[in-house]
Amino acid sequence: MKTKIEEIDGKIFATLEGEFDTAAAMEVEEKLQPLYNSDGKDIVFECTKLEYIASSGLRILLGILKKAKANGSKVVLRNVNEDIKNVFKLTGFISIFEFE
Amino acid sequence: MKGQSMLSLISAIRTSRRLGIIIVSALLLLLIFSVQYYYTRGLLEDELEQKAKSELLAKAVLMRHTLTTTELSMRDHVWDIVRNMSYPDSMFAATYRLISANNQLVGGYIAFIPYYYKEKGRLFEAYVYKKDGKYEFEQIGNEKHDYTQGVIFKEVFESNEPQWSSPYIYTDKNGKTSNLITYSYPFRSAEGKVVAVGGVDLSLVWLSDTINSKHLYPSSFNLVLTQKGELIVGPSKEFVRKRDAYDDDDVEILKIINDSTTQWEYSDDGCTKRYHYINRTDGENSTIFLTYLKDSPKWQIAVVCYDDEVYKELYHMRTVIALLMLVLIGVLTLMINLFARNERKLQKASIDRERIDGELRVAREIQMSMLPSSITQTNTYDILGLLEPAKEVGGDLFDYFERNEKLFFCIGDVSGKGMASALVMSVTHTLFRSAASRESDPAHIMQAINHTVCEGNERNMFVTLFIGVLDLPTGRLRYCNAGHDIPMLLTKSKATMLSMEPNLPIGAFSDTLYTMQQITIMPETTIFLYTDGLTEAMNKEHRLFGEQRLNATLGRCTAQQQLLPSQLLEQVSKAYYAFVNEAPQSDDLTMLAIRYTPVVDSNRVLSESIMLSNSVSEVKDLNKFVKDVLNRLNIETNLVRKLQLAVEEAVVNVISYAYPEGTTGNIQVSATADSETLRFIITDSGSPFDPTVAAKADTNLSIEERPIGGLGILLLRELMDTINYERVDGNNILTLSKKYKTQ
Repeated sequence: MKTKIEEIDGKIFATLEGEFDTAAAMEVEEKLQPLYNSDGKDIVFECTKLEYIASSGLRILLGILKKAKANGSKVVLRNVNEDIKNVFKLTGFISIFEFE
Repeated sequence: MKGQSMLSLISAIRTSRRLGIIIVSALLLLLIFSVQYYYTRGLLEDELEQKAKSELLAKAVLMRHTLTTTELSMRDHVWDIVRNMSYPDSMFAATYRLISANNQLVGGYIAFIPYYYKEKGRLFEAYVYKKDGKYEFEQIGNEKHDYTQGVIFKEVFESNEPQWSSPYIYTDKNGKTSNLITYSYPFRSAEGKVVAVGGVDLSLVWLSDTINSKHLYPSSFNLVLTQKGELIVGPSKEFVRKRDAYDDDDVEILKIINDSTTQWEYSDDGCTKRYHYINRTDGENSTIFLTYLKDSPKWQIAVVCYDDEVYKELYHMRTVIALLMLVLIGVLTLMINLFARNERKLQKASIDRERIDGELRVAREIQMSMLPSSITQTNTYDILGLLEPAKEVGGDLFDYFERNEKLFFCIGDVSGKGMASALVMSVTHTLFRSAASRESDPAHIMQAINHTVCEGNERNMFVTLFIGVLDLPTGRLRYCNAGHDIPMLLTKSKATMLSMEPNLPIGAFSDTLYTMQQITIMPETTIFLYTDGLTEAMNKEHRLFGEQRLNATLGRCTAQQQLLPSQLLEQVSKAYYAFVNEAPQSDDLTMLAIRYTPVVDSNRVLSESIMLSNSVSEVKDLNKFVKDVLNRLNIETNLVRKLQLAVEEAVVNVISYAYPEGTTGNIQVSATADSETLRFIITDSGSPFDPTVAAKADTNLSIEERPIGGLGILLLRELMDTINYERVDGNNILTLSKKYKTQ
């Protein structure tokens, strides 16, 4: 699983690639640490190449969302494939997150 | 409302019907009494006629006797008088001899035709009469007393026949009057010529005595009349009741008797006639009976009777009967009202009963609708239940449902019958459903039910209940029995009882600990469950159906290979109905049969397994293993990620929670597949944890409320067809199944 974080035009872009499984979760959480302190900037997850997500992945995303909301930031998931969107649906996360 | 208007209508009909009954009864009574009254009156009338006739006859005989005696006295002395006729003065002695011979004669005379005794002048009448017991002699014939002009003399002289005179009042020289009649007789000379008329005077005092010496009724009286209708003797005052109009009565009666238009009723003998009339002066009803003497002087004799005396007893009876009738009608009315009230009560009870019956029918429908519907057939089992309540609603229950490749079933019997039992039964049923939807251990389910039932069980109702949980993939039957009849296991070769540890029935003590037992049953085994309504069914001779008869029936089913639930229940039902015959069903009859028929796993296409340790890093290997399996099955693409996610979530759950932190444990993941279904079986030896009953994460909560965690199990449930948890020999075994298609 690969992750990349960049800041463009005052927005934080986080690119997620590969399989966001439980084994990867700890490492990913570490890497996404900066997002916990978004400082009011909006966060965009670029998911074009994200193939898979487990509940541990969802949990990390939820944690980031809760913090961001507290900081007044918006969180957007971009280009999420249908399989993964289905997981959001099944868990009810689809109504919490914003998709583009 | 409907019942009330019906009641009032019925009561209106009933009131008028009641009135009708009373009126008809009164009329009937009246009819009976009237018939009796007129019949009795008829009898009394007949009796009166008989009495009157014999009275009249008796009087006639008496009178005749006196008259005849007088006539005979006269005839006896004719020769004496004729013999001495040549000597006028001897006539006195002859007359004396004549009258003294008969006590009743008060005087006698012999009057000769004019100039018979030339020396005595033109008229000669020797007259002898009684005065103060002495006889006086007198010649009374003179110009002043010209007897030849007298009616009697003339008639007797001319007719040459003896004759009785009409009564008359004779006034003697001293002015004393007496009622007399005279019997006159013609005396003839040797040539046959009438030369004298002689007669005897009869005082009518005797007649008066005779005629009124005795009375039929206190106020009835007798009259004697001449042939012409003149009154000879009426009632003597001392015998007649004190009645002012007494004389008027006489006058009126004489008028009636002498009236040629009077409509007499003649009696059979032809000489007595009767006439019923209403007295004009006082309006009383009276009857006159009249007869006459056959020979001269042909007097008439009448008896007059007053109805109020003749029918005195009858009138008395009529009064009594009228009172009696009033009392009877009163009593009748009272009784009918009482009956009607009872009937109304019954009617109301019957309407109530109907309403209750209706409600019971609805209750029964609801109760029956709660039971699983008819026969259920799946790949792995057939099941059929039957419940026949003894009353409309029963206290028996059975239920079954499948959850996560497990068949949960139960059969139970609430103590008692009817509504109360049915309510407890419903509660038990609901509790079973709810407990079994989160627990897979029958003992835990039993405990949960018992705990709730015991709360507020003030009526001390209890329930015998058997709960079974059949693990469909393995055939492992776990069960718990709370005092219920022990189920039977039927295989191809024999019928045996399930081995059983006794437990207290549900509802006894809230802290009862229930023990679970288990057995693995072979394919083609049938489990037969029943309630004591079967074994304790009674026939007319009060014999019980009994376990022996049941075992014999089940043995027969085994021998004939009638082991499908439908066949089994049919055979047992047949035996049951043949036994009880027409005896009323005394208890609910409930049976449940389950046949275990797992698909034999012959078309297995894959069987792989991997051993992991309880570390998150192992998920990589797991995913590799899963992907590999899915690839080999060439499974359709849209299932790949789902299955991967499900297995990962299940295993991560075990990795995270099965073993205490800091300890190492193994997790085995096996994959098996036939042509239709793919199964992942995750086995660990960690602490017991059943993810199938873990609380679901609430997906409707907002972000802030949302707990982190619980998502894995949620996903697991959503993604797989079934998840089945078993704890066997200290291991947690979780089976995830999914039907699949290839690409």
